[in-house]
Amino acid sequence: MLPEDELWDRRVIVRSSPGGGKTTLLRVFTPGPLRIVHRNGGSDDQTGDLYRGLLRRGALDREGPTIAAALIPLAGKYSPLDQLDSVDEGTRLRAFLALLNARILLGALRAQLHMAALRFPDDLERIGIRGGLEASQRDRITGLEVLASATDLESRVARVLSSLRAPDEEMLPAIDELLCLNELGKDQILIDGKPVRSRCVIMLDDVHRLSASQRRLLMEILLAERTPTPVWIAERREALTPDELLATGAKEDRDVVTIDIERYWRGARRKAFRRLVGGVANRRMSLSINTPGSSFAAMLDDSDEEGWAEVLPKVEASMIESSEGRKEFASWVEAQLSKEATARERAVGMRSLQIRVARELTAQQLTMDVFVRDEQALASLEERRREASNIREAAELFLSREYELPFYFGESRLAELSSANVDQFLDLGGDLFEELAGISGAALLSGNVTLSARRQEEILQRAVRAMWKQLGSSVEGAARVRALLDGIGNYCAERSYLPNAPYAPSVTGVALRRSEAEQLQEAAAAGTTGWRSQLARTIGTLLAHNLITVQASEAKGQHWAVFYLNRAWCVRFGLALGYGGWQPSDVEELWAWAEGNTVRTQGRLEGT
Amino acid sequence: MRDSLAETLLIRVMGWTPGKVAEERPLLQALADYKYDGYERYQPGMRFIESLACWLSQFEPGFERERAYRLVREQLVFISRPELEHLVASSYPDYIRPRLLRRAGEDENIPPYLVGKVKGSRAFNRRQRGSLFVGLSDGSRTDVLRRSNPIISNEQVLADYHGLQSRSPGLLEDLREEIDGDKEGKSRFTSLILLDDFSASGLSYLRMEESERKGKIAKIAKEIDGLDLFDEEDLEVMILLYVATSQALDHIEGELGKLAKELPGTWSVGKMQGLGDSEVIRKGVDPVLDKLIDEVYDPAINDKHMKKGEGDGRYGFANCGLPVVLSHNTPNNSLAILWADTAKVTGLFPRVTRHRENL
Amino acid sequence: MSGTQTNEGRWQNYVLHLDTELKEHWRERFSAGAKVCFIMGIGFDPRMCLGLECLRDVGAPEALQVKAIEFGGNADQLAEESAKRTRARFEELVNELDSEIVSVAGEGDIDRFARNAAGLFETLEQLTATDIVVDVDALPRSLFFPLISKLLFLCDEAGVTAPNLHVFAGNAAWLDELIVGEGLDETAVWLYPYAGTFLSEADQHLPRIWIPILGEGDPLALQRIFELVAPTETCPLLPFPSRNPRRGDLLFEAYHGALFDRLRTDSGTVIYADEGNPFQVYRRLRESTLRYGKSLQELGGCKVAFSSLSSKLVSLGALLAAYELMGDPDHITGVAEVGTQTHRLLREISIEEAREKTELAGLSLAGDCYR
Repeated sequence: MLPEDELWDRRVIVRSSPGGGKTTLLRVFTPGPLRIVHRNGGSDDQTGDLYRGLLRRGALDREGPTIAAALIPLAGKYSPLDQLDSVDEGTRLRAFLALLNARILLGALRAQLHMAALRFPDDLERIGIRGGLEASQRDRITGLEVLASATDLESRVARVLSSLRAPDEEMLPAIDELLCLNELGKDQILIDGKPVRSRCVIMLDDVHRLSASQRRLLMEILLAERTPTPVWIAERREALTPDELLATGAKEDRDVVTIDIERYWRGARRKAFRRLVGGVANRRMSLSINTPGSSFAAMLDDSDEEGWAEVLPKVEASMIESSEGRKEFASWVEAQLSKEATARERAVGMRSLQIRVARELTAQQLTMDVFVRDEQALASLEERRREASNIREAAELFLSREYELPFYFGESRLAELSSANVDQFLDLGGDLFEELAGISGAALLSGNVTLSARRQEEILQRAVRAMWKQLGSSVEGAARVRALLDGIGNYCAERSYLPNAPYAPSVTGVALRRSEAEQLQEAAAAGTTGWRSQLARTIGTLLAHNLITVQASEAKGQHWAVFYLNRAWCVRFGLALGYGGWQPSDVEELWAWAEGNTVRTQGRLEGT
Repeated sequence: MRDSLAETLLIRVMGWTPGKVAEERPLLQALADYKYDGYERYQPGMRFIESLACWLSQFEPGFERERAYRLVREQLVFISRPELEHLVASSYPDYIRPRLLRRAGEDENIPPYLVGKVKGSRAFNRRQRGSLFVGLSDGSRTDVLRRSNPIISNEQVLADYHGLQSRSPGLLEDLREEIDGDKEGKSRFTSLILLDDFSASGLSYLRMEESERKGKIAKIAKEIDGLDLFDEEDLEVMILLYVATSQALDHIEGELGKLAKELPGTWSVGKMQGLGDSEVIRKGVDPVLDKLIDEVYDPAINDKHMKKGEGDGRYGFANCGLPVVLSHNTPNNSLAILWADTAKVTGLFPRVTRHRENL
Repeated sequence: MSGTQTNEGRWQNYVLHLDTELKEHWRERFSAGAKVCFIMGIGFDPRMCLGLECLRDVGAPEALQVKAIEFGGNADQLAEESAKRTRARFEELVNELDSEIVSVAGEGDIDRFARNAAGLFETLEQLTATDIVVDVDALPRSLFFPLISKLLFLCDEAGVTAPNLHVFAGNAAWLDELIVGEGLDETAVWLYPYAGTFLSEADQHLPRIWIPILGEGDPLALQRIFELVAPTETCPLLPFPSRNPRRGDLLFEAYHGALFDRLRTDSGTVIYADEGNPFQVYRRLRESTLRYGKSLQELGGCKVAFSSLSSKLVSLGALLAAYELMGDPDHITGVAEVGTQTHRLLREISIEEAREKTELAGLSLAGDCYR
């Protein structure tokens, strides 16, 4: 995720939606984790990979950590300053910088003490800053002095903020730049008179929680000049305005590394994400269950042979019926029937065949051309593995709906459902953990701890319902947000369950032409109250909260911005979890959905 | 029994599915930690979940057992030790002191709402010190009352009303020394505060038996009659029950009304936590519950004490029909299925009988 | 006097009147020449006019002036309909009175809203009266906390010349349950003016104690406040005594997942207080704060955060405790609050029903009562 070269000489911006793991990423570089990873070394099962990764990126060397990151949370701590209406904006911003400056200094010292296994605040007298602070004329100041000055400054600000009288401007501190970034450079910090070996890195977390003017000022300062102290900026995507969010191609800047965590996991690294959350799940389970050696994945039982065996004859009958007695398909059926497989595999195979037959029949009707595919044609189809597996997944989904069989179960689908968001994984998996922990008590009776596929699906559906309910109380403009999601989801379902599954495994997104997306951006940037601008804001909210994701795509000679549903909503709308299937739409239609109007002009939309 | 074993037992008794287990188990465990394990009459080693499993197994599996379970989960009123102690501790500042302030205000001719003035007055000081706190049973927890209200001195608290006569001279001496500055002074107590933990029927406080007044209040009225302890011209007696049903309060108030002329001073009764009719379980409202109550019943509990009230004890003494458990004992006014623990039936919160109390 | 001289809280002895007592109390005050400035909200709560009705019954029109506060906010249809009814009743009541409608802007951003609320009255001269009564029934916490705090502050500053300050609130747990918030803000905030030094970092190492007052609210709101407070220890406050003796248990059940399982609260730290007596709530909060401060002295002290998801009446206890301890460097306290965008009424409630089943409480906070 992070580049290996010159990482510590560039500005790094980390973005994600809530729960995407940005703070977790930052925390890796703080003294506690770094020291543990270093102590465990490269051969440790759990942290060996991390050790090597950190080694390559120069966060530690054989002797120990080489950086000490100070994690500075900005959430809620500065925006109240902006409420002091009677104080002019310049004064407010200077007070903001003064506060931030003091806290960065303090945070850096705290990190260095922690790195040296010393205690805050007890050991502050042993640490000092060389060159002194610009404000003081001395060549060295101690940690205690930094603390005293920060305490004084903070209590003055606290008094102004909670005063029931008119705010006293005189009490507010003021500076014009972040002086600390120069003061914390290499060899500047001493413990017991000796320079510390690890470099100070400042990690500003939750920058999106600053007021707009504070964020603007901070970004200007940080991006304008290089300072000897590296600074990372972490924020939620919601800090971006809707027009920034909709933009699908980012400008490149050599000095700035921008990381979008979920986008990273969604790409080619889905397997890696699955490994990551698998590990998280196992650790979570080992906390609550005394069944050494068993993994979370193994506790999620994914065989329901009885259920499948029960429906198999019906699936076969339905297949034969839908081939309309045509001989040419008989050999396909034969090929399926003779295979040795579990009932589930056979049922899915049969249902896949039925989809293919439907495709053949549709193709014939469309082209009025009676052409029969032979075994060879079938084989060539099989070569197109991807398509085959998509059809199989669609087949399983169709079966699950037709015969009320579970579809959303097992570790890999749970990982997919998390939509590349670790928090979402824990939320969705939370009830599974709880229930496994619950039945582990009862395991004295039955002997094994597993959850049936059906039960897993029930639990996941409940979790998704809870997520949906929570949505009503956690985002701005919840009614419109929900309506738009419902519009998209219902439409996806409608297009997915056609007999020939033309967009197998499922349609899970809708797309706007790039030109239309750009119009929305313009409307959003103009900040008007018109419907386009409202729609842009709603889409912005959906994106910021990871409720949908956006991807650029080219199809039919056009550029598209594709909005995929967060995978959890696939449970709500009964969709398969793969990406790739989408349908074109337009802004009028999206707006109609957002306004709760689901009537559509039929047949206007053609598949891609 | 270990928690996990007790849980396994319960799951078997209730025949719960894993989903149901996941729902109920954490909650039960939490409730047990929070309150029910604190029941002080369990045998050593016994805890709530084990007791629950044993108790439930007496009922027919299926909806009867389910109904019994719901009685516990949805209707049981369990008053824990910390809850009761809170009632005791707050009885002085929130019930007694405001009344003393009001009377002191009247003494000084100050509108009672000017508490700033009244609280600093000599009158209030006199009223405060001139209050005698008397426990009507162990449940009155006068130790807690004193600990949480240091203003109340040791010389104005009696844990037990039986000592009233013998302690009387000493109490009076201390009072006079403090208020009059002289043991030979003239001051007497002007408030008597009678404290008790629980009443459901009110019968043990005042009742007519063979045309004679019986009960704790009757006894106390007799005890104080002729004692020089109180200023009978200016005496207020407050009976304060930490937990009481409206039935008990109505009963006591009614009986006090009848007695008004015979008693010295003005008498009143009050409560900290009330129990209304909505908590009471009456025969005929829920046939399934009635059946459980009939089936798991041992006539042995219907002893001579139980017979002093109406009914045979199934619905508790005097058919009070309470689903109430106090952490230090279950009152006999509660449904017998909750507490009766005999050779024939198992109680969920077994009651230890001491007949002097809890009528 | 006995040995342990605990420093008495400001409202250790208090003046609280309920229902008929309240009415009698005001009859007495009016006949003693009281001139009342009655401050109330205009909203959908069917209890909105009960306090004004009470005073209207016992006071002459010329002795009563009304300042009604409008503040925006969203509500569902049932709530809107209720708002129409309460508004109509309000118009009837103020017909012959000196009345004025003032507004507080900024609903939607708690911090701004709270500051605007405190800024509503800058001096007591704006309110020519012997007695100021604030009726909180139709006012949100984020408005009446700063408003009452400001009035208390102004009264304290003015000293003996200040008017008396009172608060009215209708106690009706059943009705509180029927009003639900929707569209919870994503983050909780420190409610002005009660941020204490919770935003400071220099003393970040001090333990944080959180006393959430539980009520039939949204466990998610509790979670949001938890995230803001980041407590070292949590001591939930449950209603007991309460009209429904099982109410505390029901709240325990509702929150056991959020509070006791996940946040690992020790059930032994539960605090109890009377759901109908804000002064008891105040006393319990104050006692706990002082006790923690004393016990944790060795660690440099602690910070104590209150939050209320309970009725307005009970919330007043938190307001009083926070106000008294404000600015006390040895007992840093704060009040955390999370806003909601919309309010819903779960069923139709007529003004008559509300009147029938509400116990109107009147608290005296400052003035002649305590001098």
